[in-house]
Amino acid sequence: MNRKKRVCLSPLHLTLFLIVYLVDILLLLALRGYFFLVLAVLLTVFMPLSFCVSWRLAGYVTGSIACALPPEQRTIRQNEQVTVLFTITNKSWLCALSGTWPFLAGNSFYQTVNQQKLVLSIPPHGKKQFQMTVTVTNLGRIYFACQTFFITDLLGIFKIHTDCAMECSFYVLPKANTAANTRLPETYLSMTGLSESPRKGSDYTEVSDVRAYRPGDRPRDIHWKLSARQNELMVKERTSLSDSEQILLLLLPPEKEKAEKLLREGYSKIVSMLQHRTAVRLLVWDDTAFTFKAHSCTSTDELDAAYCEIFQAALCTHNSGLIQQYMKNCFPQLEAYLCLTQKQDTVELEICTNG
Amino acid sequence: MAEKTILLSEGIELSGSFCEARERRWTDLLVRAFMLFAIVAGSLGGMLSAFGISYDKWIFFAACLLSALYCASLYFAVWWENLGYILIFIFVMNAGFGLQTYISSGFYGILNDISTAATAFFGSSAQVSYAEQVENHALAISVAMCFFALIGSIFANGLTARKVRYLPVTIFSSFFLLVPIYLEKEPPASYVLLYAAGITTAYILHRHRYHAPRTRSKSYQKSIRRAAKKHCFPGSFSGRAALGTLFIVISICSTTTAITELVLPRTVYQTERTRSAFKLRSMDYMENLYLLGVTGLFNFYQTTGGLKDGQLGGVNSVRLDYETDLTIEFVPYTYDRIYLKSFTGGMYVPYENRWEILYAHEDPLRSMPPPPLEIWNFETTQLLAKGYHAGLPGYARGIMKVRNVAAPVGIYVPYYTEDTLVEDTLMYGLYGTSPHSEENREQTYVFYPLLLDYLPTTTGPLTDDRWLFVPEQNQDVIAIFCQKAALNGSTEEITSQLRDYFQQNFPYTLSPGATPRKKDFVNYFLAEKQKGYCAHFASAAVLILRHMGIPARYVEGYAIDAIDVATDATLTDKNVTDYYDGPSLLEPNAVVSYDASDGNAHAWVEVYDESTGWYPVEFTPFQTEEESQNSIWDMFLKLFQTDGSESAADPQTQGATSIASALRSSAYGFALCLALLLTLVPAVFLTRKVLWHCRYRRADRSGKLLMQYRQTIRRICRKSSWDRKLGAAFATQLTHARNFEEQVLLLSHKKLLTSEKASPDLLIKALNEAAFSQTEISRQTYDEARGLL
Repeated sequence: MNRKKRVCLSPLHLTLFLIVYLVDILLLLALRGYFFLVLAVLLTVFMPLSFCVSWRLAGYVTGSIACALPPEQRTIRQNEQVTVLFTITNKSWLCALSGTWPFLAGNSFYQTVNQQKLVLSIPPHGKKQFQMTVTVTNLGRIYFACQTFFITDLLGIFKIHTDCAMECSFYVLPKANTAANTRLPETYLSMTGLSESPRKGSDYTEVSDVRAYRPGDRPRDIHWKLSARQNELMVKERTSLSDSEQILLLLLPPEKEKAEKLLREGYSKIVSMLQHRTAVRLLVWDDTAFTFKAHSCTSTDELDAAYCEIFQAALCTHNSGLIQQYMKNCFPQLEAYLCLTQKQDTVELEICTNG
Repeated sequence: MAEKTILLSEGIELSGSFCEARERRWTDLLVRAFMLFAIVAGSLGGMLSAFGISYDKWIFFAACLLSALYCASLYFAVWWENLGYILIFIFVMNAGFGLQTYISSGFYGILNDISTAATAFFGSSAQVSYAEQVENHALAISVAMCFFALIGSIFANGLTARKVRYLPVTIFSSFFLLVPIYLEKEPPASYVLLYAAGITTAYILHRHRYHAPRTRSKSYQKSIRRAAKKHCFPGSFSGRAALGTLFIVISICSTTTAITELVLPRTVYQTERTRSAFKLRSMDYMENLYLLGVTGLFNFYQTTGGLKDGQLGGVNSVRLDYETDLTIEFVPYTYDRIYLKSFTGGMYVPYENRWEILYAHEDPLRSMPPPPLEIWNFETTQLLAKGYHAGLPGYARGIMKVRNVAAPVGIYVPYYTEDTLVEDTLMYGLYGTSPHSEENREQTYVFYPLLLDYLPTTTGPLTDDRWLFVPEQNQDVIAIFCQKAALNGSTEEITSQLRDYFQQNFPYTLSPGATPRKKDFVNYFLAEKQKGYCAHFASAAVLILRHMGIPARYVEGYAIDAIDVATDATLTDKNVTDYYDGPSLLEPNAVVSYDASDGNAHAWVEVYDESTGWYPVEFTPFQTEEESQNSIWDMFLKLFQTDGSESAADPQTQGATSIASALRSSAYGFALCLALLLTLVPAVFLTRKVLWHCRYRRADRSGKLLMQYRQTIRRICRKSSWDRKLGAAFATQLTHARNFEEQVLLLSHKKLLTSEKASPDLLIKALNEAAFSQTEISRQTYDEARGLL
């Protein structure tokens, strides 16, 4: 309850009130009517009393101002609807016809914001709710925040401002698109052993062990030199990249539209990778910590969580012109990694050599 | 139909409904019904109760309540609104026709009661009364009031339904309470409470935009969508909040009324009450208004100082413009009033309320026999001329030059002019043919002033007895008057008695009020109104003198007092001997030029005396100081003064009273100055705001952005003068910044931009584009930049 309260005057309504007051006083002096005397007393008393009512009420309601989302709508998909519920609870028997919330509606990821005003009446000893259904077309973290709340007194002359810390936010994630254009590229398939390259040595599998030949093994995996030495067919046991975690660097461009496209299409590609049972380790540059933030994703839920974490910081903190240089510095042992980048108008998943 | 989307922010669109799902419409309508009930019952009931008019209160209250509930409920649904209005229209028409007798009788009953109260208050015996058709006065008034309550509710509902237009409602309804208050009849406290609560509720509902009572209505949806586009979301109405507000309003109103009654009871206030100077001054106007209605505020024809060629009774209030009507050049020769005749009324036409020229219908050349010479002062003038030419002492000759500047077309001639053509023009009303009456023509008159108290020869008795004619319709009233005034004796005695009687009993006023239709001017003046200006006194005096056997006639023209000449005339360098020859009561002499205005317009009486012929006699009482200071400014200055009762108190306490009065005057003056200051300062502020908004509305996006930016800078500069965090030097830094970039970076550095995280570059770019590009900035740029301010 120890919130700061400030009072502002509305010059227009104060002027109107003073004019009414002046007219009444002039009529009282001119006609000497008892009626005007009563009116003058009423006008004199009404203004401070109206102010007191609003001042007291502001103290009562300021802690009970809330903005909430339904629990299942903490994250939504792009172009889906979400319902924001503004609630004000008044436990006193005082009331006001105008309580105003100047609130900010914005996207913290893209750092776009706009101020809005919501005017609600405050009934005595009750609750007032206002719901607003919005459709979000951009990815990111959408927030509704309000730092101040003011009650207009009954005569409209005073505005009693009180501080309030109200915020609600939700994440807008892309929808996975499994259409043809999100098909994984050849480089990725060969890298993960999902497809066999006609050229020897052009894949990105690693030899993890050597064992005796078992029927069904591929002839290209026979370790001919060793087999010659041991008179037994030995085969190289390869570990495909698809079995381990893939490092995927998100190279977010600073432009809003391009970043939006990359995130949207990148999401679909990663989902495709996850569908191929490839765990992905998403790397995103964090300019504030001056390091990469890694998000391990083995499922779509984890990918969503990773996106949510990415959206927490602004887009401008995720890009830098020297990311690939930083990559080399941060991961010196890594020979190659996947990189989701935007080339002209298309989003491409390419293999980058670290060095 | 696809609705246009409203953008909350970039990428966030408002979809679907954004108003409250639940709506307590009945509670809201209940509050509106109370508001209507309070306003209608408070004003109408307050008026009737203040006048003490007997009627059935409970029936009236029930009618008010039912009609208020009905009117408020019309806005429950669209179909019901349309049907409801048709039904109420049918009901009103039927009730109006069916109860026509009761309603009209009740209405007349109310008017009669008000008229009775008004005549008692104004101390006038001129009462307007209407015939009531229903014997049961209270019943007729109750029925009429029920009907008026219904009409009033419909009318008030029309003003408050869509938008709560509290101002017209207040003005219309307060009229009903002002009527008794002016007559010092106070409405009872309960009605004051009701009325105050109703008007306050209306004001509060208006202030908080409790306009359209249906959230589902198209108009409401449209209005909130409009508001939403301006980034404002008005929530739907809360009936409970409105009910709570109503409770607060009633509590405050009732407590205030009760406390006021306790601290200063109404009875005590009424006994101690004095009348303000404003009231005393406005009483004549108000009397006309109360007794004659709205017509009491206007004159029925154009006049010059209330006079128009013998027409009477159409002047409610004489309004003087003090513009020059005549310019007169002459040598002042007497302390007496100098008259310039313009119209001579010989025949009074009762009920038509006008004086006619006696020989107006007769041809001066062909009339057989010719009109008698006594119609004008031919013989007297000849006598005076002969005396002058013979060089006898006490005889003189003067020249008067009269230029008609803006006076009505006609002739303006001094007494005892030797120009018979002029006298003919006056007597026969031949203004159209006389060269003297030409507009803006300077006319020179030779006249022989009557400086002697008597003339040596007689002009003889009158031969035309029409100068003694009193219309039959006036005879009774005049006979009663003469009896009451106890007039008797010689001509001099009678004129003196009559003058004194008028002076003592008939106050002079410039706002006498028009004579009601179907009433005779002289009868109404003598028997009822008993106040008036020169035309009233002159007309009545002529008939009274004729009744007493003294030949008299009514004259209009201009009268110039010696004091007016002394103060307002300008001296000319013309030779006195060219203008005046003979003895004079004023020495030394000079030729003066005097501008006569409509303030000099006057009506007087000419009485015939066998020795001197027709001579002017005054019956108009002296003008009081209050009447002479009739300007609006004087009225305003005297607004706060009390009546003369206090100053006429004990002379020993006069000193203390004058100090108290001076203190009170200064306190009032101070209060007035303070009130004016308190009104003017916000008014100036408001005007500036309004002008800014007008310019803002007209500007394109670039202009709007720059205006907003400038306003933000000014606000921050003002803030820096008292905000320690910013420091006073910051304002200097801001104002001395060389370009937008420097200013915006300063703002950004101090975190004064709305969005701290947003890049100030955007704002800089937008401002530069707005200021220096010839094309208008895009909507997106404008929105983004505006979001930062």
